[in-house]
Amino acid sequence: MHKIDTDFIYDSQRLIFYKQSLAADDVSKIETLIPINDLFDSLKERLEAEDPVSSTVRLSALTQAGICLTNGCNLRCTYCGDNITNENLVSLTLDDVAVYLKEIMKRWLLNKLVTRKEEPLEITISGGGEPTYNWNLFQETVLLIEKKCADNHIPLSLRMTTNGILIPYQREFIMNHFSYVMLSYDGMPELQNKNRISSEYPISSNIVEDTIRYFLAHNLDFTVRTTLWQDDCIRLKDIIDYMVSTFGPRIKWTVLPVLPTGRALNRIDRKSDELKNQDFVEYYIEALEYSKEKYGDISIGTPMFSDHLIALFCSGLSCNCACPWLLPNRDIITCIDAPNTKTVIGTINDTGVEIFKKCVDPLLTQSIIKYSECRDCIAYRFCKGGCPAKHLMTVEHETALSNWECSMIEKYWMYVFRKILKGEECFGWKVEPINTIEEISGYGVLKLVRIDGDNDVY
Amino acid sequence: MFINNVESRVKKLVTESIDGELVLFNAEENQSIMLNRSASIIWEYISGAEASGKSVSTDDIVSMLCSLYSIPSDQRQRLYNDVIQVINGFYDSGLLIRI
Ligand code: SF4
Ligand code: SF4
Ligand code: SF4
Repeated sequence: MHKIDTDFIYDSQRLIFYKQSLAADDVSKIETLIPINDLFDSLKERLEAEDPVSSTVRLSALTQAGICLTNGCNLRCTYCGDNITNENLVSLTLDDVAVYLKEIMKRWLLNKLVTRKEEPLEITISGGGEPTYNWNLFQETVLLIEKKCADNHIPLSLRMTTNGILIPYQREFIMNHFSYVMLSYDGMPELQNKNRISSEYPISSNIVEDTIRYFLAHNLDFTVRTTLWQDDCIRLKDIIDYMVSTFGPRIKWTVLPVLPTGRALNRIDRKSDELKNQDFVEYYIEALEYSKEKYGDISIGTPMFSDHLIALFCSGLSCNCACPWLLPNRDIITCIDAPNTKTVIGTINDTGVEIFKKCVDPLLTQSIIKYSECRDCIAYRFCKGGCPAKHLMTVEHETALSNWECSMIEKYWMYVFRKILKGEECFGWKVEPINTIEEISGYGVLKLVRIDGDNDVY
Repeated sequence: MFINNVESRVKKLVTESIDGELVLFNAEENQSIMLNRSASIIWEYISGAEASGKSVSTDDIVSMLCSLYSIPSDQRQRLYNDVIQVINGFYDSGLLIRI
């Protein structure tokens, strides 16, 4: 139960709000009549049935997979989570990709047999490393995937991430072959040229902006991702102004504060107290309100705050893997966003792809701990104990930002709840009175619902 | 049908293939199996034999594979052991059922 302002209590197990002034008997009546809609107990049981040091790998039918071609990159971003230097450059070969692809296609076929549906096979080419760094390998990989899928009548959707350092024919190739691109650009030249540079590209903003313009002009579905140092979060409104005036209101944009990992660690340690006091959530909310007022509906988001209820735990667990990733060293892992602590569920060896029966799963260890530990957090239903990879970063190296993200998430939801309890709509959410249960119809109980009607609570 | 003189039957499954490698699925038991290329060839040989009412032996399968892949005769024994392993695997995973 969570106290929201002076008036309301939020019951996260039922996703309802009721007045603090209600008598205990009335609260019991509400609790009896409105069932808990959180599958906490059964999911907890499922998690705890697994052994993190010898976890059963469950990778069966699938529709998504990822490939990280290389750990090489033409930039040296100041916060690079993978600390890319090109010193130990490793890349896949086209043969590795072919072997992996066959395994993925077989599992896609299995999904077709099981579900009797033909969802597109979604393959993402991404990194820690820049996927286009070895352009020939990248291009041949794309053509191979397309050919193999076409030969086997598998509908394909290709996605990628890029730092946008591309020349015209590379942009054209991407535009012709990809259905979605996540492109990194730090919002305005001043920040981009401070963060995302290298000796080869001391000023990277011009070339990346040209890439953005090209993709916009050719109607490619893409999102610009901006990574911000905590002390630059104060610039969010300026960034919105710059992005809209430079690229127009159609631009899709997400923003993410730097995580305490990789190359960012030194600076975070050095400036820890200053950074800890930077209130991302406040700047972010202010920026959203500002852009709404000034530009109407433009697409701004952040992966920090989920805008939906989360049904299950992290899909990067070996017992729950929905999207395997092939790394440049041929390891097959469960999550590409876990820079230090990877859960390796397989490899490519001389006979082909080997998916292990059991594996050591550090993400699972953290998930089990946080699944219960976080139960009382106000954000629990939108976070389910959070990202185990991020928790591990803080276990491995405690920084001033260790609990920073949690406190931001909690603040965000407190803000949303306060707003909607005033009768407003806020970031996709609102409240509705519960009038259908006669015994409590006069109690003023409100339920949390999404504006778009997508209220699938599990 | 008889496989190496053991009366057996092939489980009813739906199949798809990628580059000659089979993906098998049994909806009733929600069981799925992916076979590599040689296991796929052996599986198709056995199911084909059952469909035409024939029996098979490990020797038949080894001869089929030797002619398909032009395997020299000095490697026949090794292949024989591999095929036995694959057939046992089919029984273990329930693809073949002893009756
Ligand atoms: S572009 Fe990506 S991989 Fe390359 S240095 Fe920057 S953050 Fe690291
Ligand atoms: S929650 Fe974290 S560890 Fe799990 S899949 Fe997402 S990014 Fe990876
Ligand atoms: S915000 Fe933090 S404390 Fe709250 S549920 Fe998520 S991980 Fe746990």
